[in-house]
Order: sequence, then C-alpha cells, then structure tokens
Amino acid sequence: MKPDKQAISTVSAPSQDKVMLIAARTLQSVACDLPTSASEIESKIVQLAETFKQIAISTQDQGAAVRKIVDIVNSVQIDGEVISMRQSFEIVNKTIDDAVGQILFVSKKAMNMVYNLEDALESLSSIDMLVKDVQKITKQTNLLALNATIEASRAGELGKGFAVVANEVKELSKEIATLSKNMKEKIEIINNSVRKSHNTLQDIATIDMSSNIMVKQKIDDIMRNILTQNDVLIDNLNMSSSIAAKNANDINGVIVDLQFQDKISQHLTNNSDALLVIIKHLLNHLDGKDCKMKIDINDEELQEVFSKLKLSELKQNLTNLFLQYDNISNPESVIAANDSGKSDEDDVELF
Amino acid sequence: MECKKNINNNELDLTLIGKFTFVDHSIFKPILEDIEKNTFNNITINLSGIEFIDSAALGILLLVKDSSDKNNISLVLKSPSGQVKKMFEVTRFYDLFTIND
Repeated sequence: MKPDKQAISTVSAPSQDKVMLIAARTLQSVACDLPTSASEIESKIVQLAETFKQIAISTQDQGAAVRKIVDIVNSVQIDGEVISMRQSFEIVNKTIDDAVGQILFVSKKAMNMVYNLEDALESLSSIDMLVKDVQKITKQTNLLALNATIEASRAGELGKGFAVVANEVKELSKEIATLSKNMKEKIEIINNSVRKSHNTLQDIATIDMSSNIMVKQKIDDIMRNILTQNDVLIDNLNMSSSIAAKNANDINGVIVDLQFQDKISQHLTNNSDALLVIIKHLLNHLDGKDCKMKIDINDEELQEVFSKLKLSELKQNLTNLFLQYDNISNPESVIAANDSGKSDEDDVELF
Repeated sequence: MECKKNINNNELDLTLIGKFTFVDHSIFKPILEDIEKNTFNNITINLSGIEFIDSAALGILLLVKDSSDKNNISLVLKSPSGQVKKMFEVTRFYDLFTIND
C-alpha cells in the first residue's frame, strides 16, 4: 500500500479526505505503538511479579523470625532444659515457699527449745535446793556423831564400841558432805551451760526473719509483672506474625493476578491487528482517489491531534508516517515543533 | 506486747496489743502449760491490736496450735490486719489455722 511519492501529482486535499487521512495516520501510529507498549507492560509486569515474589518470601521470613522471638521470649533455659516462663515462675514460687516453710519450722523448733531449756533451768534450780537440804542434814549428822563420840568417851570402857560407831557415822557424814559439795559443783556447771545455751538460742530466736518472709511477696509481685508484660509482648508478636502471614498471602494473590498480564498483551496485539486492517482499507480507499494530498503543518485537525499526543516519541512516530507516505508542507518545522515540546512534555508524572 | 486474758467456763480469750515478738514468749509459757493440762475447750486469740509480728512469734503460735491439736482444743485467730495479715498470707497460715477476718 506504499504510494509512490514522486509519481503522484500534488493537489489540495478535500476537507473530508484530509480528516480521514489524519485519522488514518493517527490510528496507524497508535496501532503500531500498541504491540511495543504491550511488550513493555509485559516486561514491567514480569519484573513487578518477581519483586512481589521476593517481598512475599521476605514477609514469610519475617513471620518466621517473629514466631522464633515468641518462642525465645516465652521460655528460659535452666541447666540445659528449656522451660516456659510460667513454669519457671512456679519453680521460683515453690523454692521460696520451701524457704518460708523452713524459716517457720526453725522458728517453731527454736521456741520449743527455749521453753525446754527454761524448764531444765527450773529443774536444776530445784535440784540445787535439794542438795542444799542434803548438806544441812549432813551437817546435823556430823554434829550428832561428834556428840555421840563425846558421850562414848564419858562412858569409858563400856562406851568404846559406841565410840567406833560414832566415828564411822562421822566419817560417813564427811563423805556425804564431800559428795554433795561435788554434786553442787556439777549442778553449777550444768546450770551455766544450760543458761549459756538458753542465751545463745535467745540470740538466734530474736533474729527477726519476717523481712525474709516478706521477700516472697516482693518476688511474687515482680514475677507477676514480668509474666503480664511477657503476655502482652507475646500477644503483640503473635499479631505481628499473623499480619506478616496475611501480607504474604495478599502478595501471593497479587502475583497470581499479575500472571494474567499475558491476556492484556493478547488483547492489545489483537486490537492492534484489527486496527491495522481498518487502516489498510482506509488508506486503500484514499489511494483509489489517485492523488497525493497536501497536508499543512498548521492544519487545525492535525494540531489538535499533536496537542493530545503528550509523548514526543508518539509525535515523532506520527510525523514519520506523514513524512514517509504523504506530502506534508514545511516538514522541518514539523520536526522542530515536535522537538521544542520534548523537554517538558516528556516528563513522566510520578505519583 | 500487752496481753488481756479472759477465762469464761472452758473458754480462753486472749486479746493481744502492740508488737508480738520473741520477748513475749514468757506470756505464752503458762498458757502452753494450761493447754497441756487440758484446761480449755476453746481458745480465741484476738490479733486486731497487733501491728507487727516477727518470725519467733509465728513459731510461738505454731506451738500453741500443735498443743491445741494434741489436746483436741479448738483454736481461732481473729482479725489479723496490716503486716500481720500479709505475714499470714505469705506463710500460708490461712491454710493451717482457723482465721476469722
């Protein structure tokens, strides 16, 4: 359908034909551009899908990392064994309970011992009184033996045997006196030891363990706070993890949607093919008139078309079509006009 | 610590006021002896006037409880408050004793 530029004589184009030619060339320019655009869109979409795939993988990794943090936050390692925070709280609680129980046990036993030692001191004091009584009796026995000896010597020969008995009694009371003196000394030693023990025990029992007992409540409060904070942290981490999972899912959905881009390409290419057929018929119709139409660069319809073509590449394509196939007046000014608008009109609008 | 003793039939009511510590063990010696002689059926110790209790005093109360249990005497602790109540909670006295708030 390429018309021979030189062979055909130039006449002014009738208005309808001119409009039709401008329409045909514009359509031709657009139709030729469609496959390129489609292919560009396709390659961009493939890139986009690849990027989204990477984002989906990263989001899944992020979710896995968050789940790992949840596991770490929710557990502690004791002697190589991993146990939950709640379990460790129970262990701490039980340990303190045991300690408190032991403090109470010791306090009870100490008080019991204090009472027992006081009883022992009282008993020792009673024994001491008894020994004193024995010493009194011994003294009297000794006096009695002395008197008996005197009376025996008065009786002369007849009292000799009685004097032996009186002397034996005197010796006996001396032994009892020594014995009770020893007993008194021993009782004093025992008394001193028991009193010392009593004092020591009193020192121990007066150490107030109430503050140690109340430590349990402080630790209890601290542990409870830690657990509450931990629960809040875990809730938030779990929420973050499920958001990451949802995002990964959504992104995968977008990737599936993007995979339908080949349908768009097919549509665009198909439309382009159909347009080219129509254009071919249109141009054939105009060629049939056997004339080469003269198109003025300042033509109103052409200027309107140029004003709608914002991209210089599209303007250039259209201009090239006119230059190649048609008789366009002042083609240099067409090129210059296209170039002048290039700098600002080509700017891509960014969102 | 001040100890008000009230004996009515076979019931012993003790009202304690002040700080209950080791030094008060002498107050409880005759009471423990009476418990061993099975003098009472019921003992009530009112603690509302006690502002502080130490570990030795807890030991004394445990001895009173052991003796009471052994002699089938009912023992009730009444109205612990403040530090005393906290101590009873921490030491699980509420599980061991009959305590009327």
